Amino acid sequence: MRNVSATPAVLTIAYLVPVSIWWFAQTSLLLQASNPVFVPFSINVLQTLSVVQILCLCLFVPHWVQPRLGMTHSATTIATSLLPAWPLFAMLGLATGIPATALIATQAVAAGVGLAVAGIAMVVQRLSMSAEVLRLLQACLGLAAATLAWLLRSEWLHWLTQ
Amino acid sequence: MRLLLLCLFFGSVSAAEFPTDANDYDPATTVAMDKQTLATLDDNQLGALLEFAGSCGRVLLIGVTPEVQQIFRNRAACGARYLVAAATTDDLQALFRTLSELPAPDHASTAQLEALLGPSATIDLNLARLGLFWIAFLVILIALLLRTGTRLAALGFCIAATLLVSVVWPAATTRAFVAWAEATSGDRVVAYHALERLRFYRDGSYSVEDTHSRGSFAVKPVLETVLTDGGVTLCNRGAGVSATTHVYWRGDVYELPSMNPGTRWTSAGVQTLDVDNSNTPELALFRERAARHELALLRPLQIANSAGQAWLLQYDTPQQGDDVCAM
Repeated sequence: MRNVSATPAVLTIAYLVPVSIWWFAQTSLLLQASNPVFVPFSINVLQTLSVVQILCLCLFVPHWVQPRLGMTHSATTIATSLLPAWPLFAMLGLATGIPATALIATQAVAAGVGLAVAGIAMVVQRLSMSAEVLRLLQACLGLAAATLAWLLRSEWLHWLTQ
Repeated sequence: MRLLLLCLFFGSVSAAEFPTDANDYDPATTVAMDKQTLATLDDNQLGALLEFAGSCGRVLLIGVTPEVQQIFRNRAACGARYLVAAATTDDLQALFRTLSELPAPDHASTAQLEALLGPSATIDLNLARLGLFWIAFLVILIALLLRTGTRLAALGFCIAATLLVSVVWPAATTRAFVAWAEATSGDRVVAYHALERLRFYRDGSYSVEDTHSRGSFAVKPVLETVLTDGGVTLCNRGAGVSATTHVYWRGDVYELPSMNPGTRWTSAGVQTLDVDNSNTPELALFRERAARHELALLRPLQIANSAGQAWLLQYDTPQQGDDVCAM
């Protein structure tokens, strides 16, 4: 597994830190005040985390995949991006009472979207073109996937409001 | 739908109108039931009426056979004080008035049940512990990621941490259940009042939903109490080991350890419990409820298929004697 890059996990940690600080700080204040808004707020954080997760995957997966290493490498890369967020997902899920199946569903959607984008990115990479054009196409693919994911976010986020 | 039956004389309400759920009877209702109407009730309605009698509901039986009276007596709580049987309708008005004017049973109030729910029904996230766990997780994860060759271990570590959180951490949305039952010595059926509190989030709003219920169950006292020179003495007359019980005796609360059959315990020389500083709401309620009595016992009850808690408070009137546990 020496080929697995640490970059996806590092990127995930980079957004987990501010999101978790935001949640801990706000939750601390709300719990001190016994404010029942605590649960809706936590669900809001959960949704934000889920959206950030899928947007990052869409934007960066085209740059992370390598056709010569195959889909197994892509799947491992996507898992490396998703897994560091799971403990926080579990904390938020328990704090809000959202069923584990809903959380698993959002992760499955994120993984599915990531794999789809990775598949397209691998096809693009196999085309003969200059490195500059390839990077431009990868960026366009990432942006297009992220835009689509953003527009369709309500389709999977509604699981987190049941 | 709660059915309010203020006064049911036979003939004024048809059999079909009787509730099939005991909780649909208003506790203040006095139900007068004659033999003919009783015979027309279906099994569910009869069960609800018996359960109503079991929750200290006022029931006036008219012209029913001694066997039927005995069935009701076997199911009636509060020592069957709220169950009256009349052979004829001659003194019906007077009996009805007497029954209606009996003071209402002194059940635990909603506020007292809420106090019993305690922290199990509140959001109890230990944020400091949660924060430390999270920081430790991130630090270890970064350390694993920085070492080439251990990245698969980093993924496994993430899964392990997720499972740990899922198992260890308390959920903020909770279901809490408490029940409080009271009886006096000699009662064979005990009425209980229960409160279930659900905290949940659904369809964009956060809710706390309370459900009250009442009912009854049979009880067989196993602890015999006797006044002795040094205080009060209890003996396990049952066939099995008794549960850990608390004893209220003249203003003080004692802890009675579980006892083998035939063994005894006496309050003399035993340290009393500091209820005020014990942080146990059931003991605070125990002392509050028992304050008007000389002796009372409190023991926890096992609830089948439920994660809730239940207690039985039993008021007692000890007799003078010194041969307790003498076989």
